[in-house]
Amino acid sequence: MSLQGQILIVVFSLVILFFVFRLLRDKKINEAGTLWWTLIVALIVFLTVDQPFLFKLTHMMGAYIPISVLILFSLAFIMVMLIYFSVKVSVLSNQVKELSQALALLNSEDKETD
Amino acid sequence: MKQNMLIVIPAFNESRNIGPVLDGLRAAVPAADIVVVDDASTDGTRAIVRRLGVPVLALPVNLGYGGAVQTGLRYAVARGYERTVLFDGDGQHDPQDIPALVGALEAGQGDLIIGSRFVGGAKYRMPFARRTGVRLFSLITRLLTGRRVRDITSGFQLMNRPTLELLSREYPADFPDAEVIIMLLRAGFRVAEVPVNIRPRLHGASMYSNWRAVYYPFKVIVAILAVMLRTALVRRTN
Repeated sequence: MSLQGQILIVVFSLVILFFVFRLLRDKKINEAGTLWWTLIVALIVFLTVDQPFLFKLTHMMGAYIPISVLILFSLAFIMVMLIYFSVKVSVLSNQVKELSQALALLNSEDKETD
Repeated sequence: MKQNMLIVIPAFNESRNIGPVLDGLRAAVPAADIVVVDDASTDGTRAIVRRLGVPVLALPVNLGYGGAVQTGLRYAVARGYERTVLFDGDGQHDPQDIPALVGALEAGQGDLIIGSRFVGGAKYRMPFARRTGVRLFSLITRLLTGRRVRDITSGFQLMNRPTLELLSREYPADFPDAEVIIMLLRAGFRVAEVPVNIRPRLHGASMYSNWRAVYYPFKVIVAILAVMLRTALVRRTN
């Protein structure tokens, strides 16, 4: 991978991390989400900077171009994150349902006592 | 001891512990009000609390320790309590220590009084990894605030009204610890520690067990960073 390519990937990753920490400051994202993004950025930066390791990985996987391995790992990290957030959304949906039902029952009890 | 004090007990599946805990509190601090925040327990905890005649805030979904505590703090604010104690429902905290915390608050030693396992010759044995974590966060707190707080993770706390009002608005959702203390100190609140006697858990498992023990230190580091980024947004209410 060329030096320009490495610099571009590292700078882009750090920009993503900057925005994630801004979201954390503004309470738009929680600590768990921040940890996930920090881990992903750290892994991408590591694979980008540690060229010998990336080349070794490329050879082990039978690929020809290291950048394709980097893209594959990035996609894999994103898929893991998507699964994590799918689970989170499902849990939250169930909680909204439970809360709505509890509220409806509470309102119904209030009306009966009026 | 002055009245107008509320003891908040967050509880999740503490059916085997909550009865003795409530009996001990009633005997030690009969003048204080108690409320149990049941975090959607599935073992009958809330039924036991109701049978004992103690008010219970029954959360319809599990919010975690932080969410349960904040619910209790919001209850305390709504009902005008001047002092609020956070007390664990697992039997580890000794209700006989509450007067010592109240004495420290009345003496003006702090806005938040922590029942500490590591001051005044108190001896508490903790697994090495956890003890290292506590020391690390205590060091981070000292570096960021200039104040030394030895027991940064104690859940046994007494707070005055201004502290209560802030924490009822700003409280972590899952494992509140060092970041709460750092937030208070940077907002100008005073934190003091008194030695307390912490007993082994009566029954059940700690909330820091399993995968949480690995996740927790990283989460606290990020939470401390969040507090540092938000410091300008936090104002003391008094």
